[in-house]
Amino acid sequence: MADIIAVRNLVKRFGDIVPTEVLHGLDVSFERGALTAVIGPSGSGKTTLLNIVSLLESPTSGEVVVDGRDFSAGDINAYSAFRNAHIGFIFQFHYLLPEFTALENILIPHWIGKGRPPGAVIDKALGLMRDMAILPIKDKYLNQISGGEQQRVAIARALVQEPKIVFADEPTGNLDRESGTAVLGIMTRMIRDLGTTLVMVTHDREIALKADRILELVDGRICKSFRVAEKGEKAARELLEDRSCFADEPEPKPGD
Amino acid sequence: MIVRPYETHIAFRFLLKGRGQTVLLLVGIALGVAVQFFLSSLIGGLQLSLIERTVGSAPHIFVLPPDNLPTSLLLGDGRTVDSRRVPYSELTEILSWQQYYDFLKGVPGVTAACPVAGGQGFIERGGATENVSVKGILPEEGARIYRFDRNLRSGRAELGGDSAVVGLTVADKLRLDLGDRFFVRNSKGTGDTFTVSGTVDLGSVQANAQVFLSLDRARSFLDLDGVSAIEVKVADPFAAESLAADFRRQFSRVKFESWQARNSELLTALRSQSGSSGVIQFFVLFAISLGIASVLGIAAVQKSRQLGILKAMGVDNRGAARIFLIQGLALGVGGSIIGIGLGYVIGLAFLRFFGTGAFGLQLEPFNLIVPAALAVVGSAVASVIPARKAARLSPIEVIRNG
Repeated sequence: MADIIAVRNLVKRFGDIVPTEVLHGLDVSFERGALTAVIGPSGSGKTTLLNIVSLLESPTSGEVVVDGRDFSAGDINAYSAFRNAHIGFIFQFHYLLPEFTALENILIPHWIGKGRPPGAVIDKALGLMRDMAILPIKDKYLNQISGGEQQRVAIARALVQEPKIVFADEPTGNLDRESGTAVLGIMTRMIRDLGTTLVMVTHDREIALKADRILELVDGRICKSFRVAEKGEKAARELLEDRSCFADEPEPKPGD
Repeated sequence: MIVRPYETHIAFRFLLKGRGQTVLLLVGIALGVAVQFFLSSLIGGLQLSLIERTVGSAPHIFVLPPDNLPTSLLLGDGRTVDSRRVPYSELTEILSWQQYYDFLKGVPGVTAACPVAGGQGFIERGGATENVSVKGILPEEGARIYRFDRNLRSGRAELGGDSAVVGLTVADKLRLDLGDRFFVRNSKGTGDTFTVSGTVDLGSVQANAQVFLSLDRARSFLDLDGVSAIEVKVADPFAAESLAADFRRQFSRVKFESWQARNSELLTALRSQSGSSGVIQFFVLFAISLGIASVLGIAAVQKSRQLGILKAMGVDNRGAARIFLIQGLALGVGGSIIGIGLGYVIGLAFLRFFGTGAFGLQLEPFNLIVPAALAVVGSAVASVIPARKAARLSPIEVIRNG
């Protein structure tokens, strides 16, 4: 079973009175252990796809299989334990709890799933902090650390339970270029070391090019899907420039 | 319901880090509990002392001859009876009193029963005439009803021969001292001379306007063949009326009157006092609950981002709700404990400044249990609203809207 996530004929509609269909029968799968970047213009449905495959949002219809288990029913609350054990989340905003120290924040997923963390888990959390160069801030609270440090704490929190999949939605969107690049470098290296699958939504092509595979969504459909290594970086860049998927966009009228 | 470790871990940290709010809520609950404790202690004590003053040294049930009016009407069957022809003794005396007396002595809950011969008399002394109630009692039974053991102000409660125990009002007005002899005239114009063997203070002017004699001397003084009443004391004063009602069902030829029936105004006043204190306590509790509901409600909104990510990370709806229920419960328990301490401090300070006598304040632990329990329940109920809010929160909603 090479694919850890498989989605068939996925449809997602929002709104009851005036329904808007965001995903129109999407078929997509994600390979176990691979880093996939999902790109696309805003409104293309990339975040919606991420939310559905990360079991945070229920599909309108279609089949969602994660790690061999069928989650098509979309009962978000019932999947809490699965998310805790097997899924890590990194969002654009860190969503750390200000009431807890950096180290305590990292340990919260363990608290939720298995209760008070034993020494071995604390050591692991400290190891993650050391690898990400945030060990000195372990006892600091949210308001005492920088944005880059906050995001690294959030990454350590996503990884502490060694999840099978990590979902990241614009993980460096709130950081400046320099610390964003640093955080991203650390994140991808650690995820590769752990052999964890990463699905990352980004609008940044440079970031996307560091992934194993790029998936481009346009208007709720897959526009492009290719492996960066197979194409070579130059061809990959050219591919990203290609705008053939936007063909059905109306031509700008002269005089506009 | 198994509380998972993270629920308390997060709930207590939220409380600890939201220090200002937590302290305010704790103080609010504590004050509420303390005020309720103090209020119920004060009102309870006040009522007890009022009732004690009213019936502590008085009979609780009076067995009396039937009213004369119904008697003449009952003889009806078409004929009217001239009430003047009804024999006098039938109206003011209980002739077969021994039967009732024997019965009453054996009733459980009755602590004393005493046949009495009561009537009016006039004491003449040094040119002054004082209207008094003459009451003949059995020394032992009467002493139990009128609590001579603790109400005696001077002398001894001796009633044999021509000895008399005189109420304080009578003694003061006529300047009667121990061993003094005084002449009492009855309504027929004749009279008798008695000696003061003791004086008693029964708590009220009316009760102290009595002169106690032995039953036999009083009967001859008042010219009674039977007795004028049987006075009864019961263990629980508040059971007097229901006991009297029981007696009424068993005996129809005499009248049973409870102290409650005689003091209905006092009881109404006490009841409305209890009622109003209940209303005050309810609103205190209500205000506390509203405070908790709103503060925790605001906290639930403020923390919706954190709750969203917690839910994404595996906190289910139940767990999210319990994080708030635990906070409410902890606030209720903590506030109640502080309130109990505070209530005792206020109560003891009050006792120190005003003494026990003035208000009859009684610090009963029972008065603490009710407000403390209500505060805990109220806090828990108040936290249901934020808990539901937390349970319903969808993680994606928060994450989508940042």
